[in-house]
Amino acid sequence: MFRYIVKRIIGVIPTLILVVTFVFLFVRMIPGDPARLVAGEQATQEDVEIIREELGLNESLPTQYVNYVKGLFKGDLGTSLRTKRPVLTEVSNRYANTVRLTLLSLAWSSVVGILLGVWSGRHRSRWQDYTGMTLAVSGISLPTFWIGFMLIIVFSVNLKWFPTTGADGLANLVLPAFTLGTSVAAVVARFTRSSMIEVLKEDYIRTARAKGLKEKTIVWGHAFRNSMISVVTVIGLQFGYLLGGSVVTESVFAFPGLGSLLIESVNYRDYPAIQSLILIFSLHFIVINLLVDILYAVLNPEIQLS
Amino acid sequence: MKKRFMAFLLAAAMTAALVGCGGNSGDSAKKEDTTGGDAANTAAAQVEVPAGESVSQDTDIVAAVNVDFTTLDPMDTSDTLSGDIQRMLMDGLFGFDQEMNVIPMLATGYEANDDATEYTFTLRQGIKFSDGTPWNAEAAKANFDRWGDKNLGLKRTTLLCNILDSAEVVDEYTIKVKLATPFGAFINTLAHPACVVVSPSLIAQGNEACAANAVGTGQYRFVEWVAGEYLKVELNKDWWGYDEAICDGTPLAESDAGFKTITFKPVTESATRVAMVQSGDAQMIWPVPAENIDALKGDSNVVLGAEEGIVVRYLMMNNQKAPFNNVKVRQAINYAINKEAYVQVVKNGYASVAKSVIGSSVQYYKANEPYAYDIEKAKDLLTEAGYPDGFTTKVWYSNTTANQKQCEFLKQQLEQVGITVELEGMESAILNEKIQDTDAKGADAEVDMYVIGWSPSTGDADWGIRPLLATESEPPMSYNICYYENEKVDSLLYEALGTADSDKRAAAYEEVQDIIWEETPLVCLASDYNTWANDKNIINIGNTPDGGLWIRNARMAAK
Repeated sequence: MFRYIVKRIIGVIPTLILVVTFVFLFVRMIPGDPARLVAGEQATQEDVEIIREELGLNESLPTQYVNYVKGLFKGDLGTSLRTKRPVLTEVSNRYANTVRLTLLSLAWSSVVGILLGVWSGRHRSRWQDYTGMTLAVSGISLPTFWIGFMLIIVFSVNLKWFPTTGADGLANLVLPAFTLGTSVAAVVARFTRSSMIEVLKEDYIRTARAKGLKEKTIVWGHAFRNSMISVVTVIGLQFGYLLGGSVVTESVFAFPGLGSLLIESVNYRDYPAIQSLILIFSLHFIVINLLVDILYAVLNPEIQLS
Repeated sequence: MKKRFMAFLLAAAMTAALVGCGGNSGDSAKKEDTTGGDAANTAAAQVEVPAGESVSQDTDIVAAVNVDFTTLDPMDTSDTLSGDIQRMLMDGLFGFDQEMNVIPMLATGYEANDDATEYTFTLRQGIKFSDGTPWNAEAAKANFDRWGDKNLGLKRTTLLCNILDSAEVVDEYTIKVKLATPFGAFINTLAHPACVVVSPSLIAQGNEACAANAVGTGQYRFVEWVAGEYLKVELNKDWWGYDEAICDGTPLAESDAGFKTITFKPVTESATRVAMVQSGDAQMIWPVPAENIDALKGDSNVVLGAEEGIVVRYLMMNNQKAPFNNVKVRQAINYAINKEAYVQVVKNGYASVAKSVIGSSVQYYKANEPYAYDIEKAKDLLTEAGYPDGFTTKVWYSNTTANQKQCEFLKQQLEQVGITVELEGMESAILNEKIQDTDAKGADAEVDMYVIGWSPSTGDADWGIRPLLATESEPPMSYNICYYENEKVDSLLYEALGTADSDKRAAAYEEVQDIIWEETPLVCLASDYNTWANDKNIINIGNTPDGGLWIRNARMAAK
């Protein structure tokens, strides 16, 4: 196992080099002049030139690239064009917020999604299934901003139970976590259901039933455990996606996370910030994929690590 | 400073509303009470706060705003909001009152020579920066030197760096400033939010320190700024503006005005801002987009405000390119657009029809009679110009919801006189690049028509007209996207700039505004309203015409 992990980590390096290079190039291919954006809409040509020089954007692309990579080795993600503060500071301020929101959203939505999926799956084509899947389809179909605003109107404006915005404490996280987790719960429920339906058709389930095992043991001990492979994959992917911050949810709740930072940075053509964020998001997926692979082995010893 | 847009309903809703816009008396009534000038269109009853009974100085409040702050360095600020906050923390030599008249702040007065190249300022005495540094001619010189430093490399560097020559300390409270070139708008420029004064000790620490911290003489002191979350300020009870003696008898604010602390939170989603003030999570929000205003009007705990601002909306035309190189075509377009309907449909009544190229609270404003809505006259003019069947053209705009709605309206209006308009909305960065980074100029430029809003943040006619219509301002230098070239206008603009004599300046700008009105290089559509909402227990909340928050005299009733 240890060797496997080391191998996987080494295998990540070429991916990272590719990501760094492509991100650097793609960001610069976006039309729009960052110097002009930084200078502001009423800036004169002279202002723009002053800013261009100040930001080092008058350097050639290879020089900019070398400077960028050199910085990375020193742990320097560059300076935000927008706020003129180190990108690392900008990101770290919001990183913890996004992680907390992600964990909370993922925790409730995984539990609810799995329960709903198992319930629907074992009662296939009966009222339980229809109820469960109606909920799941609604969860995917209802637009996030609509759910967010409804929650704000009911729980903040009318009942005054939770604050509208902010990231100070658990109370601030409840509404955004509910909003963000809704579609995740729905996706997890659908995957769990179809996976359960497949597994419940297997011979060993029939054998288990024939042995006279309790239905509870069959469902949770045999069927559920075996259907977890695809569910874990989905949850892993959703985890990576949520860690990228949700632009819509974060805007609705004015939540200071990575999603709003990315949008602000793109609007501003804030090259250093966009590069760093995409790099961080890529790292998330790489790490999560690694963890998911290891989890496979734990869940199903038949998967051999070689 | 930035173009400010309210978010609007979708364009589809506009088409529906257009049908009923003719004589809708309900809508015009709404417009009447918002033009009252005293923020009178309140949903909730205004409370009374007797003198000395305000609890505001013991109250912490939250204010939700629409964008995040970018910096605390006034010279590096290109967004209105950061400027607003800076104006609360720092004062300038001059400033604006709520109507955007220039008033002396840290200077008590000035003398200028005839050709506006040498200004001598007398400074107000008895004032200290929040770090204890005294305000005197040395401190003023440190700021003038910074403003004049070409190598500063900041966004507002060119505001003064080409104009200032040298600053010289005459005595402790007198400073003499020499300009490299005559500059009649100097005093207004010093009232610009970029020219608020920073403590020399902070200047000495360099640009990074100035961006992250604010040490000024203002009504509030800087506490903390967490990017993306909040920026917090606390009351400076020793502010000179409360002191009758320092203010020569008339304090700038009542002694019980101002809040203990204010936490500004950036909340981009306007419906969320509205929910915040309704739920009590915020005591003040601004701006309030037009579509949210009606929702708030029914709330008895919230006071709504709207006042005309200085942002004017324009439809620009490339004056060097056919068919717009014919003045009759430009006039025809102006006659073809129903500005009253524009205000009702595009701005939901929260704007007023433009009567000049600059807004009514901009200095040296001169009202003209708006071009009447007259389709027949427009058609006649088009026929005279040789376009009896109209023509096809395109309009460029940055694709915000508000702009989209605006352009759909303009397209519909121009179709009535046979002009087919193709709408080409673009992301603002791309649009800017297409406009500014082009070698093809004038008749060769790709741009036909262009939609733009402009906010002259110095409050002076110069910054409202020169960047938009002087020959020197053609792209890429500035925003004369009309490629309008009129020698008379140019010379009048320079004449007005070359004198500090306000009568001469007024006369020059009056003539400029008349010429522009007659030649109509652009169609002046409307002046936007600024909107805000606050807890009904708070009084004296307002906006300055440039869309800045005005809470200097804010007071609060006990609940």
